[in-house]
Order: sequence, then structure tokens, then C-alpha cells
Amino acid sequence: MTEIWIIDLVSGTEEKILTIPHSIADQGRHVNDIGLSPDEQWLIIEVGNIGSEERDIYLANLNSGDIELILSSDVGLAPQPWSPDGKWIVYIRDFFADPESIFLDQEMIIFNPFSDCIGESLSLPDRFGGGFWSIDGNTILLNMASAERNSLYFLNLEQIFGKPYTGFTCQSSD
Amino acid sequence: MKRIIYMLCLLGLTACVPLKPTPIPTPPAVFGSAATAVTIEPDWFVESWRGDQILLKYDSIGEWNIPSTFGRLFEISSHTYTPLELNDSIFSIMQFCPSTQIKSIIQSMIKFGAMIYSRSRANT
Repeated sequence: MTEIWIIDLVSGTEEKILTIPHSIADQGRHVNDIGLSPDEQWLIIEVGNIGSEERDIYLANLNSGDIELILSSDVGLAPQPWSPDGKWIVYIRDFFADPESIFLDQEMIIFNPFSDCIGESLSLPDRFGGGFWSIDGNTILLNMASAERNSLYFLNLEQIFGKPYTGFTCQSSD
Repeated sequence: MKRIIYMLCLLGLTACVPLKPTPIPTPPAVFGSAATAVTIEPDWFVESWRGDQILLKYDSIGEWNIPSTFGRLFEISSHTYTPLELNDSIFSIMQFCPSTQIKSIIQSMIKFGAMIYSRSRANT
């Protein structure tokens, strides 16, 4: 099983906040990334499969311990996924826009994990990673790494989507 | 000679890692004027970002197969970044804890503060 712990390295105290059962993370499946919600009541968990690009994203209620699958397949949870109000998460989806193409396309998706709906999406022009939502909610940081350099892009959400993140509403189900 | 350099690297890992400003990339046209860009060195990766501070992780296999993973806190502005902490520490981190006092938590992280992590156990 996998346990999620919070450790205060100043006081040295540790607290286990979640146990992920074998059925979710077991041999061949492991926790890639986690994101604690701003109110510290919810945990977003990305579970990957060894030897496969397939990933699943779960939402855990830290009060009850319940864990629910919310997204599957070619999704990559952002390392800092939560909006400041705790209503949205950001992830990057890989897909083939052209079935004949050997090159993957990507889009950044703003997703409501509680209503299971997409608020906004943005096609990405290249191979991006990251997804760090700023503390004021106005910007998402993406990065694009190459052998020569690692470029960080700070996207202004209001300029991209024409409204601040507080104005996002559910557009469609995923 | 290599052994001496290896030991020096272990004692002062910072000195073995180049950290010089690099050219600023042009944001992809699809982002229009909605994006600004900053370039960091290869092998450095963003671990967390809060306001004008960014925690970068260096993760690479060194020239003498020295596995190096450590973090360094930077101040970041629209086009540049500068180190804030010179005493790098080897660490493995998954995420900072959300908090209203994020900056102090990030700063204490380097010395170290609070973090959240996962721990796997074999089947029993």
C-alpha cells in the first residue's frame, strides 16, 4: 500500500493523512504525483503504470478517506494543480489529433474535480510539462525542456481565456 | 585526481553545478502576449512556485556518475532569476503544504520546514 504523510521538519512531527489501498496503487502501479487542496481537505493523486504512459487521477477526501477515480488515460496531473479557491485543477492531456500522425498533441485543461467537468482548455503548440497555478490564481506556469535549456512560460489566464479564473464555469463533461 | 574532485563535489555540490543566465526564449506565438518566458539551465526543474519565489530542483547524473538531486530557492521576476539561498541541501520533495504563509514555509523548507510525501510499503 501507499501512505501519504505530512512531515513538519522543524518540529519533527509526522502525520499520516491517507492510505491508498492495493487496489489503486500496487505492484505495477505507483503514485506519481499528489496535490493537496488549499483547504487541505482534498488530495489529488496521479497513479502511473510501470511500462506504460497510462495514468489515472484520483480525488481523495482526507476526512473520510474515500478515494474516487476522476480521470483516466493520457493525463498528466500538474505539479501544483489547484486553483487558489480549490474549485479547479489543471492537467495536461496527450492525444492524437490526427490518427495518422506519430506526433502527440497536447492540451492544458482546467477541470472541476467535484463536478467532473471541463472549464477551459488550451491547445499547446509543443511538448509542455508542469502546470503550477499561481497563488493569486492569475497565472499558470508551464515548462518546456530540451537538452539545451528549460524554458518557463507564465500564462496569464485572463488574457488567454478572456476572463479571470474566478469566472470559469463548467463547459462540458470530460 | 578524479577522486579528489569527486570529494570536493560532495562537500560543495554547488560549485559543481553551473548556474548562469541563459537567453530568454520567445513565447510560442499561440500564446500571443499572454505569456512571458524565462530560461533556466538544463537539468534544473521547477519544484514549486509561489509569488516571486521559485524552488528549482537540480536532477542529473554528474560527470562522474554522481547522482545529484537538490533544491535551491530563487527569486524570480519577469525575465530573470537570482539565487536566494546559497546553502543547497540534498532533498527529495513532492510538494509544499498549502498555507497562507507560503513564503515562510518555502524558506523554511530549504532549512527544512514542512512537506508532504508518499511512502510505499510492500505487500504484507
